[in-house]
Amino acid sequence: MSYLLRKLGIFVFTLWVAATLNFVLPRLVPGDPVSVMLAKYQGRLDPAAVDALKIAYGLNDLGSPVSQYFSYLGNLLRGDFGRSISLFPTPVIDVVRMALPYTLGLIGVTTIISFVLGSALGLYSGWRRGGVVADGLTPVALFLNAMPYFWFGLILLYVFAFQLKWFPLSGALDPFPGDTYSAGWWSSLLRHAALPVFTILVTSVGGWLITMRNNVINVAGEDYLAFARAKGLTERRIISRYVLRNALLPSFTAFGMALGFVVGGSILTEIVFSYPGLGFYLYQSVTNLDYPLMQAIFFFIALAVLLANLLVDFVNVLLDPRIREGQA
Amino acid sequence: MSGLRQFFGQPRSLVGAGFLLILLVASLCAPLITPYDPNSLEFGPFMPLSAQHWLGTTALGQDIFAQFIYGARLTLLVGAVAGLIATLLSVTFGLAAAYLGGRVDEAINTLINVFLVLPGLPLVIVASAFLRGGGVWPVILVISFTGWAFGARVLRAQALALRERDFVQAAVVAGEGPGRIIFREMLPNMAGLIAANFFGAALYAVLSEAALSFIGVGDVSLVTWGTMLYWAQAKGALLQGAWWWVALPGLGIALLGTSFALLNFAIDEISNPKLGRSNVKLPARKKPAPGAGVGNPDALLSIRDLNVGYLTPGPTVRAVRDVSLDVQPGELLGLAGESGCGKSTLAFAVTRLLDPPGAVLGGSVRLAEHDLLNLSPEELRRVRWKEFSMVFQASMNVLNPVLKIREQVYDAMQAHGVTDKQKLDARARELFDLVGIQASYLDAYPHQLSGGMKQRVVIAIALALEPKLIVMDEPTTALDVVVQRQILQEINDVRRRLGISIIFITHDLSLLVEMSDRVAIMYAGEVVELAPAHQLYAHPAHPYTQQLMNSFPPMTGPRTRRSGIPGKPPSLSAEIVGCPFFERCNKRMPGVCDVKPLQTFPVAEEQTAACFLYDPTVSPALKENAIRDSQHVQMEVSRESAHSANLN
Amino acid sequence: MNNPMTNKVKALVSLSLILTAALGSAAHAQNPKSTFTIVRSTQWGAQNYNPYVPGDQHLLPTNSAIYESLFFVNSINGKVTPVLGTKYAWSKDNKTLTVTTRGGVKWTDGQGFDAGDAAFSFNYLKSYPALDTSGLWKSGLSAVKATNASTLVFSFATPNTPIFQYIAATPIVPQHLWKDVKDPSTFTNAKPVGTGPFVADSYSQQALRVLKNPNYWMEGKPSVDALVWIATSTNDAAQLKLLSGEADFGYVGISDPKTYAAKSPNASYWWPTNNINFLYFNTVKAPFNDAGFRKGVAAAINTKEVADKAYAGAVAAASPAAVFPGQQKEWLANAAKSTFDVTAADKALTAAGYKKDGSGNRLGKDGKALPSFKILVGAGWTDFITMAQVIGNNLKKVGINTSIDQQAWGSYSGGLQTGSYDMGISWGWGNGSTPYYTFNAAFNPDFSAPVGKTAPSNLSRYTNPAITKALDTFSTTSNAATQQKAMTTIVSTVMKEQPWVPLTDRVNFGLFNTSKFTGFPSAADPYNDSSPDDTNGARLLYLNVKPK
Repeated sequence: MSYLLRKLGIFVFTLWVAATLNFVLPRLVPGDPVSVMLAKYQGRLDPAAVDALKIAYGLNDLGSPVSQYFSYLGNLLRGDFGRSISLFPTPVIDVVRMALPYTLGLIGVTTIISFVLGSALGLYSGWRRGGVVADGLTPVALFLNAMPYFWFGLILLYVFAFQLKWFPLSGALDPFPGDTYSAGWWSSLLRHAALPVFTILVTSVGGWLITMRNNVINVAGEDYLAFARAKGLTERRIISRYVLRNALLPSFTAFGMALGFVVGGSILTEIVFSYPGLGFYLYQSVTNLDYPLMQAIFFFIALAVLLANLLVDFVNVLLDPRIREGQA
Repeated sequence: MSGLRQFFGQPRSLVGAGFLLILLVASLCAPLITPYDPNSLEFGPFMPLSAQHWLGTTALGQDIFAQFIYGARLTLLVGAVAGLIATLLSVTFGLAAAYLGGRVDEAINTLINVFLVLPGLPLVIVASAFLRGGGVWPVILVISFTGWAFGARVLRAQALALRERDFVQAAVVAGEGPGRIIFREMLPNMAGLIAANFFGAALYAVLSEAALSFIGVGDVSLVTWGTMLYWAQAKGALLQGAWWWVALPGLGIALLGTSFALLNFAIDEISNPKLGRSNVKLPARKKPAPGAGVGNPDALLSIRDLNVGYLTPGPTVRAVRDVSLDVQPGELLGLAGESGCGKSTLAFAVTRLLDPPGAVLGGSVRLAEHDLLNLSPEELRRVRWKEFSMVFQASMNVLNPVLKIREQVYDAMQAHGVTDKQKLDARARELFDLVGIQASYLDAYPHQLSGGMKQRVVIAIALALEPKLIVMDEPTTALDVVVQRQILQEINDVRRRLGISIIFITHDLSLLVEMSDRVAIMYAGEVVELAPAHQLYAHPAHPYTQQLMNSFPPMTGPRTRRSGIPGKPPSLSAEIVGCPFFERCNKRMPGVCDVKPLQTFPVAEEQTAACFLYDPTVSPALKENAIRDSQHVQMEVSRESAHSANLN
Repeated sequence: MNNPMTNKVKALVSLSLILTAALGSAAHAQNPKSTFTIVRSTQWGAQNYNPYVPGDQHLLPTNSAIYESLFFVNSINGKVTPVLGTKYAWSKDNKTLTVTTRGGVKWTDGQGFDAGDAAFSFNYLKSYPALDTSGLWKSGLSAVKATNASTLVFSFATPNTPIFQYIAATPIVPQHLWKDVKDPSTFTNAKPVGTGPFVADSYSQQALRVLKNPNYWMEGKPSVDALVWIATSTNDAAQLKLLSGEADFGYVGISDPKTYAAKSPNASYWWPTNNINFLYFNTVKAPFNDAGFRKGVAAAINTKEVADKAYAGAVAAASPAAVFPGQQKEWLANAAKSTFDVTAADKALTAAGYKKDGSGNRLGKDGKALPSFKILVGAGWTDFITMAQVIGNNLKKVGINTSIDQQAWGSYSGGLQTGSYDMGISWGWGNGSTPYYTFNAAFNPDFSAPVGKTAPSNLSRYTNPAITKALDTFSTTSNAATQQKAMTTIVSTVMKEQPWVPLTDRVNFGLFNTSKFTGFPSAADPYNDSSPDDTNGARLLYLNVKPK
């Protein structure tokens, strides 16, 4: 119990740190969103519009930084993220709601597939160590893992979308994909998701493979494994109940830790494929200095990663009796 | 030093280091390789590949090959410097947390956790959008400050473990200052991990720089591989068909990253030998003619001329040499000897649990009708536990920590056909009763049991299928004396009741003499004496046995200070001529013992010894001389016994 | 047979039919025969048809297809096209503007449009200053009244004739609907009612569609049944859609339009100049406070090379007078020649007191070496970075060292506006149908500020009483000759003082695929200014295109 409380404490603390960073960072920058807009319209907005825009965005009367901070935290607790500046007057939360399904669908599902696939390959590679295929997997995995996500995405885009025209160049759906959830809609969605999914899969699977392989090798040297073999257990049972159960624990923790990296890489993938998820909008909001949107998206990404970590901690409790007893 | 040799002995690290070196040299010698200035805009845009421009030109008329070569400089710089700063931070935080402990550790650990779970790249994107000042340094700093936490976590764990180690504790007790302890005692032992961490951080840095440059957050007026990708993308290189402008820098990053990863991996393997791959090929064992008729047909277990070795990159370590032993049904055979004499290796070889690089080099093992060394994996699996079981030396760790005890008792039986739940439960209770544990512990997890209880559980599991033979490798070493006695008593009871044969391995000779029917003494991989327990106790034949007996307190009578055996056993990787105990023997016969090939000679009924004192062809005068000398030497030895190599 | 079970089933079946119908209706509304497709390289936001929120925030058809303004003023030649206004006249004292509004125009909900709606629209901006993004009510306008159903009278406290450009472009909304809108800056106007040639139809993240307004006041127009905007997120993807014929028009600033046009006989582009990229000097910082130094630097810069490298030859070097090519005939007495001359620049700098040391590096007036100056550009602006690279190479030849200071958006615009830069590349922060807009934004003291404070648009922080007076003269008259004289003063003063270096033209990025439609604007037929796809200029394009 104390373990979970501790983890919960770290969760809340980290979330607070993220929220505070979120508040401080945008305020370090010179200039304000209104002048950015003015600049962005490149003469299409009159300089005299500055005041009008400031009033519209509620930037005319801000109060002291301290009071801003507390009202910011208060709004955060109420789930009020304000209105986007670049997509004014759309409430930020609506933009997030619009983008979130794509990111969850793309990154969430792909990351899980990648983890499962990578771990399975890692299990194979670790367990069958010494074999040509099993050992050959490691350098391949290292190479895939060292590839920049966005670069691999670009190459895929060039070959499969630009040259071969098998897949669309960008976006998440065709202009008129048909009724939502109809067959045509699904096919459009999947065709658009194929290349980004493949990119994330290929570039992240190697990391899980290496992690799992190392864990399996570590477990393979444990006495309980020799004992299990001595007992004459079938290989299937040894792998499922002895190797996997134990090797998964650190792998699982690593999964939580690495999630931040994966999400980061996936953001680039979204940018390359113009996939309208959170990463894409984060990039847009950074270029537009859309503070409220930027803050909300960073907050939600941090929240998602933190929640995933918390989930990992909870599942760890189920998987590892030692943690349950508060020994680990 | 051996680490370095190992490092360069691996193809992985060679490839990694090689590529890195080539890149470094090429980027430093850039002006010699290409005549063009990477920033010069003097050529036409999008020139195709040609002899003048090997990779064509950019949209702005820069030579792409020149950009690639010069770009490697900054890319390497970012990787190296950011990797270095991040590593420095990791080491500082990791060591500070581990060394200072308490509140500081708590605070740093929380900080590490916070940095670990905060999504890195979004943070970097948000942060660097607000960094003033151009150039490569803001990028390096941002990357370093977001990339240190992973390493800090690993290093903290390592440092915590080191802090508990004897030599660090000793330094603390000796009153060495923290700086000295950290720099002299701890850091050198963490060098491998720190180096691995550096390459990991460098990989992260190179990838992050590329990512940041690509989305235009870095300084795109510099020439790095990342900014090359940025410009290629911004100027529509792919649309123009200049795919190499995109392909090359990305491939460069991937290869650079791979070489960092390979180095990281290679160093990791050296500091964590478990991960290392055995490069040695196992030689085919010289198979004796297969068949069950080996050795003594009455014996339950018959070992003949067994040779076991460890295949290292150097000379093979011959841990078990030409051992032949029989175990009769219902017999308790004791196996004793100093650490490293090969007794555990023998046990593992006989039970076929030897992991590479260990390998059986020759000989045969027969258990009942099974030719153990020639069983197929599936045949072996079926025979295991049913015919013979094993109790490990480190019983503390032989139970799977994440499974309930019940499951681990059940699965041994389930694997051999007992599937009925009621039968399983009844048998488990019966076994626990037998070894004296409450049945309620069946539903506990291993960590909830004390060491003694775990040991009993393991013994219970070993008895589950009533095998014909149990190999017990120092089953009680880690236990306190009282518990040890209890367990041994129970083992003996059970054995007698069920008629099980046991091979009992220990370095505790007095224990063996008390329990065993027969005792075999091993020295340097060979069985040097074999005798019934009482005979061995009363009349140890081999000088080694005699000296061994001497080094233990007698079971009865006054406890007096005993002598250890001076000197140490010979290296097992060397070829041994004559008697391996020659150097340490107090009854040695120079000219005989160190020359003649060793043989085993009968001493008394059922007693044999591998000693030339019992060689009928050696002249009695020589033997007497040797024995007389020994009494003289004995005195001197006792005096220096404090410095002698004691058993274990 | 009438058991309750079958009733339930029937109810369920009919319910599901209704649901299916409801879901289906959105997508299958009607299948337009001729669809004109516009591709976007950016993502749009939520469903918002409020014409008063700025730029990106309302959907693209809002001001180009649904709502209309009084006039369209072509920014490249100043030509005025009537829309809901048919004519306009300034009073003698330039304090009254009278606009005659069009009769027989109906809102798409069937109600009639009259001058009252127009008056309401302007007064609405007065009551909600947040909507007044052109600053109409801050620039001298004092009252707007409809004196009868077709006459609209604008009264000014101080004369300000250039404001006509902004009055002309202000969208007109129906009074009967908008009088109840209380929070217009957050109002998303989901069911827009306008007078324009199209009505809103469907909205998704991928595509927007508007359908032909069957009762549009201009007879026989529009010639296409529907407009569709499709979103890509990169210029490359948009360019590919145009090349493949999936899109007919795109306002996309691709890096190389010449290559685009060469790829297909149907691909064409028209990139007319409507602004200029300048190298701004921070004239409150030494040595940029010295006109002699500024002139020397300006003469050392090869603006043709700058333009060629930055825009792959698709955009020309700017006129040193900073007047757009289309406006030069009207506003420039004699064409300004390029001042580029390295030898002259070298001499001029030396003459101004900046000598060279032995190794060829330029020294300050005090004899100490000049520092390396930073050229501020926006992160991600590849054209500006390229310009800075060329300028750096140019200045090196006269012994001046520079480095590129690449900043993210906020730091970039903030740096320019707060005056913390040395030299910076940016466009003219004002522009319009006469050069006045460019110079007013750049040199009006009202738009300057002390260093550290935000200057709205006087980035070089340069003011000159002669310029200030001429700007004032220009804005308070509608007499062409007076305006011309004032403009001559401004242009010659700026060229003499050189607070900036006009580098390259800055253009509107019209890309077309002419395989399915005719009637695109071009240099030969500049009926609009190649306006962005969401402006009242684009409306003319949507009215003019016809299926082949």
